[in-house]
Amino acid sequence: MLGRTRRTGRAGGRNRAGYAFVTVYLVLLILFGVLPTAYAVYLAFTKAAGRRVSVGPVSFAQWAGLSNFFTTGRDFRFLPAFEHIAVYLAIWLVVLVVLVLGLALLLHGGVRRALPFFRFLFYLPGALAGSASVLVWVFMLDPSISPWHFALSLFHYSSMPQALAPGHLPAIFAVIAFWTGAGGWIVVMNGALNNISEEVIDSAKIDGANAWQLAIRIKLPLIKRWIVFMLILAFAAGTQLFVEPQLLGAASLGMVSPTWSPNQLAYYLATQNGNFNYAASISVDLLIVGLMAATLLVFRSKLFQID
Amino acid sequence: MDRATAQPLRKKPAARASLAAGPTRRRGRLPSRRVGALLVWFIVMLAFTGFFVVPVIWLFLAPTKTDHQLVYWNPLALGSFHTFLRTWDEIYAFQAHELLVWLWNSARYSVGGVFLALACAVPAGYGLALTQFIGRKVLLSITLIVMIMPASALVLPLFLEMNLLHLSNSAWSVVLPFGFFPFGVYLSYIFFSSTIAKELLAAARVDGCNEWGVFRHVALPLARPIVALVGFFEFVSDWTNFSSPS
Repeated sequence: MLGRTRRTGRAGGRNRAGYAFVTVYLVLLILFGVLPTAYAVYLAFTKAAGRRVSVGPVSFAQWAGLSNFFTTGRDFRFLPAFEHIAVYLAIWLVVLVVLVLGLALLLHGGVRRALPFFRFLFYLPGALAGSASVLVWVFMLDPSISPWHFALSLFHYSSMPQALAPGHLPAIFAVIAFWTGAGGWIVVMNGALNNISEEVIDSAKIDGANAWQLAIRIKLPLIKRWIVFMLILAFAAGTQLFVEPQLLGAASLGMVSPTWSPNQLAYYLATQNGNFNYAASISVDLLIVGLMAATLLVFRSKLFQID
Repeated sequence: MDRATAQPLRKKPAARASLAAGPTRRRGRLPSRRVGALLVWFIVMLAFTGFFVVPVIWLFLAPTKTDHQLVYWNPLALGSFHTFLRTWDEIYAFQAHELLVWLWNSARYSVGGVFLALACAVPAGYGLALTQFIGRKVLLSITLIVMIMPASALVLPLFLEMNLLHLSNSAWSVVLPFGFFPFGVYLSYIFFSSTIAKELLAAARVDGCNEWGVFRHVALPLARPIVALVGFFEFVSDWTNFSSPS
């Protein structure tokens, strides 16, 4: 009896401690995460122009129901933008997962002394600002200037319009995104692999596991949570593709449509039509798509489970 | 930068070259199969290094060349130091040395952001991973939702909110949102939930540590790799951030 009360007392203390550890973060989360998100969702369901309803000191815009979603959904640019992004995502996710995990495992299982060196070089592009990295690629993709002209000529691209043909764009954006983003994930995966205890790896080796079995059967399952996290964020970031098509379009004088991706369409509606509500409704569409993928992954991988 | 990334990964010198020094390694010559594997390994690494680094080298060489040279010379040719100095002078003179103000702004906002983000994200990740409390999964879910929400949709609401709080045009309007770093919270959460054994914390409690002491003296020293990682990513994301200050 005495033991029992003491144990609940302890657990209760830990419970309260849990709140203490998250409190400061919680405040920032509400201020800079929850409130802005809620406001964006509110914009998606209200009208830009219309009668405002006052409740005390606060005035609310007129409720629009799903009409913003229907209007933007019927826009002739809406479906093509989502099709573009679907093709892009398919390429980008496969490239990212295979190459990031492949390179991280190769680094971890390879010559340890060379690891920091290669990891630093792979990460280097990630340290550039997003817009700068796209501008670099404007030059990389112009066969007359590019240091990759030999590679571009392999595909028989002799001018920039050829390189930027509409059918090539998803793959090109995937290459740029991989160039900027892969290094960061390689650093994360590498940190994760380094957390695997030496004993686990040694005992697998004693059991006769070769390098391949060690990587696939031992290391990968142990960093599953990190992989799931990468997939969720890469999927969401992929649906939100914006800077790459936007800058490439501007730099190539309109060879990429200003409404190529859904996020660009949202930006276009907000800045050209001045309708933030339409823009917000497209953002909510993207949020829903991202959440569906995230929910699936979280439940399948038991990401939130702690024992 | 290199140090920050290298820090979390420095480990025991055991198994220095695991590919070269497998269990079959004998004193003296390496078996030829291992030499072959090593060679393939280096070729793959160098190929990817080329992919990642060549555009960066091009970028570093660009300011040494004039517009004409940029187009007509070999892409990886070095221009002249003179052109580089002139390029720099022109940027430096732009809007009466405005560049220095920009650099100084980026530096202090980033440093402020890193401290705030670490102080919030690491304890939060620890709390989410190693304590049980009501609302834990809700907090994890909301954090994920906020990360998935397109950032572009949050710019206007954030701006309005800063106005409402009378914080716009102050450093706080940049540093406070920087301190909110859900990515770092998740990195810490996954680290703590997959690396630190609960028994270890329980042992510290038995030894009379209170909850803060367990975190401060047991978990935090073990979490140095993740602290460095979160700080590093936070710094780069702040330093290269574009949308929130504008």
